[in-house]
Amino acid sequence: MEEIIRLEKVSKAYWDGEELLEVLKDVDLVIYKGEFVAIVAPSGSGKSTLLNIMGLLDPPTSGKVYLKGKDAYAMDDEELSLFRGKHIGFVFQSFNLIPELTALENVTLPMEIMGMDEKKARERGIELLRALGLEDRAHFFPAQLSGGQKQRVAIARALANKPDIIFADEPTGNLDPDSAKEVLRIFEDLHSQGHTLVLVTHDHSIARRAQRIYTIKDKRVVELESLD
Amino acid sequence: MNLLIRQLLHHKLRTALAFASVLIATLFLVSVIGISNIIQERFVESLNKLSPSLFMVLPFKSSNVLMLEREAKTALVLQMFSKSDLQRISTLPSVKEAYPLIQLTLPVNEYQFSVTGIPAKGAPSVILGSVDLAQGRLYKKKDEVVLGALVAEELDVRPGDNININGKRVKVVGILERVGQSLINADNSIFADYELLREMVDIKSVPAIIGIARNTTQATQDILNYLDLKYHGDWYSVISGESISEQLRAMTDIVKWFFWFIAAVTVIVSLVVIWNAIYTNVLDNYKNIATLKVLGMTKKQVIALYVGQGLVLVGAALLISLPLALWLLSWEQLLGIYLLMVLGGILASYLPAKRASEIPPAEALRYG
Ligand SMILES: Nc1ncnc2c1ncn2[C@@H]1O[C@H](COP(=O)(O)OP(=O)(O)O)[C@@H](O)[C@H]1O
Ligand SMILES: [Mg+2]
Repeated sequence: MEEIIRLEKVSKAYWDGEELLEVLKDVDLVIYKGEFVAIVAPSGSGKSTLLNIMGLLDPPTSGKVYLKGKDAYAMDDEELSLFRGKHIGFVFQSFNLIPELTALENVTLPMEIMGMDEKKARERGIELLRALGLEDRAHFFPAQLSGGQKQRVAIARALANKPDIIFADEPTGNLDPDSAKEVLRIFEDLHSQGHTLVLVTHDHSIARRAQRIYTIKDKRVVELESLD
Repeated sequence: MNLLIRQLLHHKLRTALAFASVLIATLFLVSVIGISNIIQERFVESLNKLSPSLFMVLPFKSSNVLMLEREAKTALVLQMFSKSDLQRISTLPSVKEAYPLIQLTLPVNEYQFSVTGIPAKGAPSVILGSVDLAQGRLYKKKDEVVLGALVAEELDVRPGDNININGKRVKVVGILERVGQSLINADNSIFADYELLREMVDIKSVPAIIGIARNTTQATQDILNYLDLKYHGDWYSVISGESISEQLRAMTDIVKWFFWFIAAVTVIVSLVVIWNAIYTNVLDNYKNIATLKVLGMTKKQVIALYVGQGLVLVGAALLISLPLALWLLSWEQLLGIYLLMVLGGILASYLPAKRASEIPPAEALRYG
């Protein structure tokens, strides 16, 4: 199986005023192409911290992160940005759509940042919105969309540059149960289409949808055989 | 990029304020420089008419150019120069010619006018050194006069007509062109032979002296030295076309620098307003900027986004000011001001843009 991401002895500590707060310690983790992984752990256990490190947003205090075999944090800031834009998709709890841009413009934004031709980006944007059942909302602004619709736009945006891996941090945390179900169904669809997904949540019922489940225990990531 | 404009439009009031301030600053800067161009043009024109080598020795302290016209009536002064003073001054090496001068305000027909008496033999160099004849010729005899342009207009007379000065009939033989600024106050005065006026007030000494210098600065100095040595007084002064030009130039310089100072302050204020507008945009969009970085934006692209916003504000203001700038400014000035504003805009927005580029992308995941 092809490795997408590999963490070797990753530790992370924050300076919390005077004290050094150790959140992760010597984490080893490998995620393979096409996997649907859930990381389920209570609030404050370091899920977002782990996602930041895997998503190339924040370097670990020590340890190595390999993305597609490449030592990610050895890259300079600019390379890192480009690599992130090209290979990684993100879905956030609070959607993080750009309020000044329409749904379609939010979806085409990552493509334009990567320098894709405007017309091509637009075509792909419409295609993605159609696949997520949002064609008729293409020219709506985020403020005019429901939570579920916003999260679907955000998923379309995460898919824009055909990333190798998609990270989702509590993607249903701000949604009503029906919208949450819809979003999870979309993740399952994406998984069945061959996408690699890493979903982080504190909610066991959501983690159950994943193919492989991890948790964070004593600052380490461990695999769970069953959720009970 | 699209986002750049959208963010600006999203905060309408803030953008409008920043834009208005840049626009005002630009319009102001352009107007100030335009106006100072015009002043300078006019000024150089009027200075050219001030015949720098003409000098006057007056029986009172006169340091202020603007006061001169009001003060320069010599009839009622307490002290006067002697004939030997005139003699000595006219023989100074730095002085080319010197004549007695008298200025009186007298009834002329039914009006009051300033009448200037200069000997007929001095009239060609002294009067024609400052102003040209529009009609007729200069006076040659005691009963002939020449009129300044405004006097002739008011009295409505032509060469050949007679007028009545202080009860005496004299003949108008010439009319001067209009000059505006001149040391002998040409437009508003009547010029007559020195003897005519001297007889009217019946004085023996010399109320004032007018002349042409070979070297104006030297002559002014020489005359003052001579008078100081003889009178040790402070009741006289020497003025010249040159010294008045200098004073006028200093005055317009002060006005010019004052305008420039205000313009500079306006520009700085407008740049601070831009800085503030962009900075507030950055703070308001903290999480959005983090998200843009998550989506792959590099630091350079983030900087470009916000510097771009500053440039759009400045650029729009410059575009609107363009007609005025084209009308008032020379090409070099236009280029200079536009370059300055663009550089200022870049500088003002670069600081907040740099800050924006340093927002850590991980902030995007923070909930709230
Ligand atoms: N930037 C930071 N600075 C200091 N402490 C932080 C920072 N980010 C997270 N933490 C702390 O690290 C711990 C793990 O946080 P987080 O990764 O957000 O957990 P989770 O996502 O599982 O709720 C928490 O105690 C949190 O307060
Ligand atoms: Mg979290």
